[in-house]
Amino acid sequence: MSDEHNIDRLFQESFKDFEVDAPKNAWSGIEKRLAQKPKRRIVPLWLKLGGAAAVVAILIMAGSQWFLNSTQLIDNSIVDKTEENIQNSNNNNQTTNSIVTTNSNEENAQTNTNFSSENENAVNNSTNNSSQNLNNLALSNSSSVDNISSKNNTNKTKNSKTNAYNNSLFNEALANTAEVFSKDLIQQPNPNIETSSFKNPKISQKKSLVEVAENLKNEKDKFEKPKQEKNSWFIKPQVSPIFYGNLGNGSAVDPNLAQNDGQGQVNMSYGINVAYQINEKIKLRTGVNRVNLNYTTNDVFLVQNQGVTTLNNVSTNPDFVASILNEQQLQNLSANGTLNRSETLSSELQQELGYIEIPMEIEYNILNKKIGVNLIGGASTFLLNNNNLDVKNSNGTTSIGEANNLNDLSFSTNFAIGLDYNISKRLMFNLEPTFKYQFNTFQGGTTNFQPYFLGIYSGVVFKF
Amino acid sequence: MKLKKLIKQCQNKELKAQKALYELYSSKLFSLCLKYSKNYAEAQDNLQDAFISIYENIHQFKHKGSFEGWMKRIAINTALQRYRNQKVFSLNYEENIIQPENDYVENNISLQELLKCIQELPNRYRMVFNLYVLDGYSHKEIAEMMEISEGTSKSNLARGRKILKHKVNTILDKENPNKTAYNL
Repeated sequence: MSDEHNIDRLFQESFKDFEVDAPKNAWSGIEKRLAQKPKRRIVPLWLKLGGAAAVVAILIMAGSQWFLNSTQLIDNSIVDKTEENIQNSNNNNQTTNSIVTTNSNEENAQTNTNFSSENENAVNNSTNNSSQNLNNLALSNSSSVDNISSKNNTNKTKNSKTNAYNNSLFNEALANTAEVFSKDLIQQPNPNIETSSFKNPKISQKKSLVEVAENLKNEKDKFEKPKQEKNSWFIKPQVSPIFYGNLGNGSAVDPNLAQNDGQGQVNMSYGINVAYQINEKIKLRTGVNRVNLNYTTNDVFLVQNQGVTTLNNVSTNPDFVASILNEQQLQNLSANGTLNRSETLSSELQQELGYIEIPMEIEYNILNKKIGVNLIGGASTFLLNNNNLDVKNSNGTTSIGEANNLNDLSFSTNFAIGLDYNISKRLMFNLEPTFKYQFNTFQGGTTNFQPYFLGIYSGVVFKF
Repeated sequence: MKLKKLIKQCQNKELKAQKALYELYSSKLFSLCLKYSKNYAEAQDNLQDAFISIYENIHQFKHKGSFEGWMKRIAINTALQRYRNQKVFSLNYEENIIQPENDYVENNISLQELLKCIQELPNRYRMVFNLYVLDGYSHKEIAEMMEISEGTSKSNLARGRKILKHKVNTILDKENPNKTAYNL
């Protein structure tokens, strides 16, 4: 035991004040790598942005294809342009890659030319530093000479860091093996050797050198970007009041009701949102929301016993036997003298729509402090799952039927400003005023109704 | 205060500050790299990798502990990463050589010879010996850092020590052929 302490003490005492000047060319290597860093970052950001843009382009194209279904118009120029962009970005990528490779070639070459002079420097330096007794520090290690030549060879073939590691590892394996044979060490494996450390036989260890090198590189990459890989997924259950409105003029139900007053009701939307962070600034997100929309048309009149005048865009229930008229139609009817006022009831029409919404959006971070601010843009796909039309009056609410001019599939373009309040590392509160303009809601030519909705989505975001 | 300002400037990626930081700490970290690497060239690679890591992660330093300690930990991690997942290659070592008790400290053995002894150790033995004996980490900490068990760390240390003892004795024998009493 005390022997162990002795050997420990020998090394501890000797290395207590151990300090050696770093090689003189080491800083220039670091400086070069620091200068290279921004270049490397721009390329993936570009590609990722391109990827995100492509997703949006595909969505818009899919949307426009649906939208223009009736006329069968496909804008080929968009497709061409997208392809062109993709090609361009590929070209950019290649150019940048080649630049990076050239740089590393130069760097390695320079390191090598510097290296021999460096050893001389080291010798000179250490002779000056006699108190630390460091003569021939670099040259004292015979294996370092092997490594210099092996490094030169590596540079001739390939210059990637992985290969340098790989080579040095392989050299080490050879050196160790050589050491075993050259030193007349005891060849018999000792029965006391702890088997857990040496589970694999030597051959498989050598085979796995490439794997080891790959693992090392992967781990190095991981180490270099620890922050980006953390918290890259976000889940947010959300709820929002929805203010539904009409940007066009006219009624969705019947052209005769175009002049009638109407207003959207406040309804709720709820759902779940999933986001993936692709870099510090940009998240891609999707999810699923349930959206209910209500629009009321005022000043309509329910007239019974005057036959059934069906509304233009409505499939009426068979048991609904009455007419919905506007004021003008009502006056025309009373001018004819056939109208019994007691059979007329002032009412309002209420259209209820329900959708399942699947958004695809890009979130761009503009402030990332305790409070975060994001800009969000994208598109949503809407699947119709509720379609109903009611008439409301003093007698209560009666279902008339359902609109027959609604498309099962519609889309919206979305814009939002996201405000995040970071509660903890994994939790934040989110508030998102959102504007969505819906299109392809109605079958072409049936109405000038152009729906939009405003929402203020709020939710708690879980990061993981 | 001066260091705090320097760190702040490095966080802002100012090249001048990065160079000043390098000049301030490069010799300390290079000495560390020499102990953890198998030769001078590899130590230089580790030094460069370590400084790049330091500059990239310096925004994570929150002034809660020693900055030098934080940098040393990064340098050690850089060296460890080079060998993580790697098994010890050399299976044979001087198991059966009788090791007498010696007070090595009193003997005259040069620092570069000792450094060479450490550098020539199989990778994992070198790491464990450095971490435990020279940098004061516990076996538990070493096990976590190197992703090995505590038992492995202990046995690696024992084997590393044994090889070192043999090497030191060999050197002493060469220097003092008359003092065979060391190997009695």
